[in-house]
Amino acid sequence: MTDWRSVTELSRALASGSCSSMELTRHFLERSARFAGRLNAWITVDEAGALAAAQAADRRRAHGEVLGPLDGIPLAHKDIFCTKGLLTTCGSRMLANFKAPYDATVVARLAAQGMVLLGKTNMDEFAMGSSNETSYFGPVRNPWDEGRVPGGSSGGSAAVVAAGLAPVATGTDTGGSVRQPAALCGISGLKPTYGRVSRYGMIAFASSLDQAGIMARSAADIALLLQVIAGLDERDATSATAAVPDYMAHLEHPLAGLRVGVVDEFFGPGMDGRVAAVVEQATAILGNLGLRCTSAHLRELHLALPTYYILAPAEASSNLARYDGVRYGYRCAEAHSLYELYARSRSEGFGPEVKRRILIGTYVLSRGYYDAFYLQAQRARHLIAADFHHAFEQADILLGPTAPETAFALGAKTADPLAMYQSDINTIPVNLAGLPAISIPCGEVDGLPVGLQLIGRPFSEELLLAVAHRFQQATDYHRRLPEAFS
Amino acid sequence: MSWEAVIGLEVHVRLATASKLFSGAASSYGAPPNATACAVDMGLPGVLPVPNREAIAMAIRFGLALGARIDRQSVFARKHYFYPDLPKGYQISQYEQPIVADGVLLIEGDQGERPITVVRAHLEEDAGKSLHEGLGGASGVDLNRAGTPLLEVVSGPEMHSAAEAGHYLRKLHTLVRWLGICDGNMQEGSFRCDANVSVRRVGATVLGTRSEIKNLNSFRFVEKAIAYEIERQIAVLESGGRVEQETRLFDPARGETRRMRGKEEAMDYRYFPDPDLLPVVIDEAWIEAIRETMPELPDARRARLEASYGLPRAQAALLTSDKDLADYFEAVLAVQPAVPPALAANWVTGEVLALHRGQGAPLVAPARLATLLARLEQGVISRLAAKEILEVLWQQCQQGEPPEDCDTLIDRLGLRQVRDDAVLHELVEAIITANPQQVAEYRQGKDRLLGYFVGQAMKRSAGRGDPKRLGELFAARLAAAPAGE
Amino acid sequence: MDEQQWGHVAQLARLFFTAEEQAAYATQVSRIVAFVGVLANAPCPPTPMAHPFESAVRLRDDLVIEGDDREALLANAPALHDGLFLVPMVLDAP
Repeated sequence: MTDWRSVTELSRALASGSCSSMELTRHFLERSARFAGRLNAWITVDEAGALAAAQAADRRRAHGEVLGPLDGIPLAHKDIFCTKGLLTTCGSRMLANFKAPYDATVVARLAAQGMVLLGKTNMDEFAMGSSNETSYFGPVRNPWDEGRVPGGSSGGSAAVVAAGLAPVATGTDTGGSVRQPAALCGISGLKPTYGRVSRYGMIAFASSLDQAGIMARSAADIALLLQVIAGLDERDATSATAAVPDYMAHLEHPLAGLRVGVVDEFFGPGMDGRVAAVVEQATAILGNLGLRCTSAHLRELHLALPTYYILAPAEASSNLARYDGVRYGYRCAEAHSLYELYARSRSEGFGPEVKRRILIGTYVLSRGYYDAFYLQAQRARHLIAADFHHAFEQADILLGPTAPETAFALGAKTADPLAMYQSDINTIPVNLAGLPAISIPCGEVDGLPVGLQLIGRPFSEELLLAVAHRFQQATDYHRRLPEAFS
Repeated sequence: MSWEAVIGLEVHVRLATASKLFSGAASSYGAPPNATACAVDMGLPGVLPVPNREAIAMAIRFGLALGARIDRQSVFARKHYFYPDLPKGYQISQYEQPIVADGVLLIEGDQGERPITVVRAHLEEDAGKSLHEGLGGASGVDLNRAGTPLLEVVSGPEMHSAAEAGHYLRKLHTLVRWLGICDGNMQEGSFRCDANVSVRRVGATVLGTRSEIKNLNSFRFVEKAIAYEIERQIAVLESGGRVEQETRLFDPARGETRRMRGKEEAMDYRYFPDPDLLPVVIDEAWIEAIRETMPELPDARRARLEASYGLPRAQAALLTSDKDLADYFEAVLAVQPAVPPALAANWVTGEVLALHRGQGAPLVAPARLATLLARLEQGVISRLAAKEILEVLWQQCQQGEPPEDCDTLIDRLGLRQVRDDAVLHELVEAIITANPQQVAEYRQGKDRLLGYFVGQAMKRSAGRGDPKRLGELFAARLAAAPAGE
Repeated sequence: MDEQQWGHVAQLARLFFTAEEQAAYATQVSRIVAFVGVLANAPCPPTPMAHPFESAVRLRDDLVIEGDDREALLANAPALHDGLFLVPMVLDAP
């Protein structure tokens, strides 16, 4: 079983009849049960639902009615995606008992391809965090070193894939929440272009930045799933109408002569020199593959974090106003007035990081501060987007380390939000500009994985995936498993 | 000391779309609590708004009717406040870039017709409803109405009396129904009004402090509340007090406005562009396509009815207070061009409207009314008979029975006017014989008894005699020598 | 953010903070506000960017496509009576 790591390989095994979906599903459920206490990566495991779905997939296969290459393949959803009839907690006490009455578009599309949902993964509360330590359900541990964080906010998804508890998982990325945990857990994670994948049913954090992504063992696996989830959704007015290319077919496209801009500013002052060295080696590998690597600049990069930490909390303060204890979610006991019902339900239902961001977001939108903070941040966002635009005049792809350092120790940054925010310094600007980016494993420092971030022009996922795929054909970093779980 | 009132109105027009502004739930009235609220309307986690094209088209239609500016780009913004009937904690509205700006509505002012500026009209979603009865001291929230499309129409502070405000409101009410963008039902809240009222010295240029009056759900309430509020503010000022900027509620039972909250409690709504919604872009082609479907507007139609049919202005105004009525009138004339327009107008605004008001829709088919009026005009039936037939047709119409042909009905009811002189002569002789006293008086010069004779003859003939001919016959007969008397 | 602003913003956001929480948060929030405050002096273009791609919103046809899942939609309600969401008595209009 352990050989069948990638979705591509599992799909081949199902097709050849060398295993059934039931066997696969049991395999991952058993591993999940075995390692449950160590990683805390799941919030919900739906054993009965998974086995029923697997059985249905096997029956389809027996009748020659296979839905496609993903039919019968198990997967995990980040607990931010609404799943009909299952708990959808968003890592919060606020939604600890919330059963969504509908499926997110991403969930529905993958289910329609016959994928088997194993369960829902742990995450930072409302996706606000970079270490998975803000979850109401407790922190997730990094499979490479259980004393360290897996990154966040999609830390549970990163951990289940890295530890082989699920072959593939969904994540969401508002400021790096797919790429940073993928980097810290040694897996591949794609944040598509804003609008490429529907946000319907994905619980909103910051609507102009949120995007659903895939976390997998390989770029090829991502291509398989992206093919299904990408594309127009009538229920999301911001979902893009751009045609969806054949991502699998593009994996083998010739890359010679492609210009790769290595962004100077991505190797800033907070960068661990050892991580930088690993990324430089990876750049050399790309050079060997025929890509032309040159130096590039994003001169306004230093504005990205302040811009993000105005815009994201502002949108979050608005998006989270709906949690009031009236229609669903946590409700405080015995409120005597409406105000008390609201304030106590919200104060008891949200954790500290969420409350802090709501407070900041409310402040920057409030009368007298809107222009100085919010509007100015939107102007700065323009500057950052223009910066990328200029950089893409000289390069087809931009490159840098995904995160400034490898996985840090649990608790190391919880007392210092600003230090925590620095973890996303290289990923956040990409969300501000709405661009696609992928993180792939490219080496190790002290036995901990390092992620390489590749950034593309809008709707150039096929190019990013092709480069990542070629890199993975030339290397084996993505095949490594943490020893404790191999 | 004389005072001048300054009034501006904010009207919430519920757009008559099938589905809601941002969701595919039915935009209907009267369903059980929370039955027509979908996941989007309830603000469930993860849901997203998708704007309804038809609601935007209706706003464009409205803007075109006012000769307003239709902004090529308008932006939906979030307006934040916590309230149980506002499920997301914000209302999606338009703030800095509304869809319609700078339109004009002509009203019949205190000093003749004049234009009132419609400063802006913007799209927004309605809230739900809180109910307070029979819930053991709690309130209950019904979100059926949440998400229903509203067009908020804001006038300039340009009206100066309750009557002017009432007229503006009626004109607006007519217009939105005329355009087919609102059913106008005020009881169901399809057309709601808030009034901003202030007073100042005549001749002053600066506006006085205003109060905003809410909860005005009929024309009468609007007028009463504004009249009350003007009087109240003048009384405050004349007694040396100051008017406070506040929100007031109208209490229909007592005919008063009362304080709801002051300015110090004014909200900080934290408007910002809704990140779930890109700007609404309206291209020239869309506007032109809508322009081509625009009906003739009420004011233009009123002018045409006056000019083409020679109708008095008040009657033309009444006919154009409702598009169906105006269409009905012209349909009658189209079927029977021989019917004089004045006759048709009198009947439509008179008998037909009276029946209609008493009972509600539908109207007798215009073709039947046209035939009826043609027969009346031809003298086939009397006015009285025509009224009787109209009522029968109305009844059949109300009961959904197939209406009878007008001519068949005239014969079945025996209402065909008697025009045979031989028969009428007999009638004349009979009346003369029966009323010797009156005949004598008539002959002595009491001319007005002629009407009495005709009336008697009509009575005797059960309304079937032709009164005009009878009059002639009586006059001739009584002027001649009293043969055989 | 001073005491008064804190109170105003917490009230707008419908959040309660105990004195201890406020003390713990105050320093962090002040540092964050100072951190994002550097933007004030950044030379930015005049046009704000509300969205990654400034295009037009996509519109929907006026069709009723929802309905018939009232029970499922109400199933998460903490307090319900005859299909109404219950809240403490609402005394004032919004």
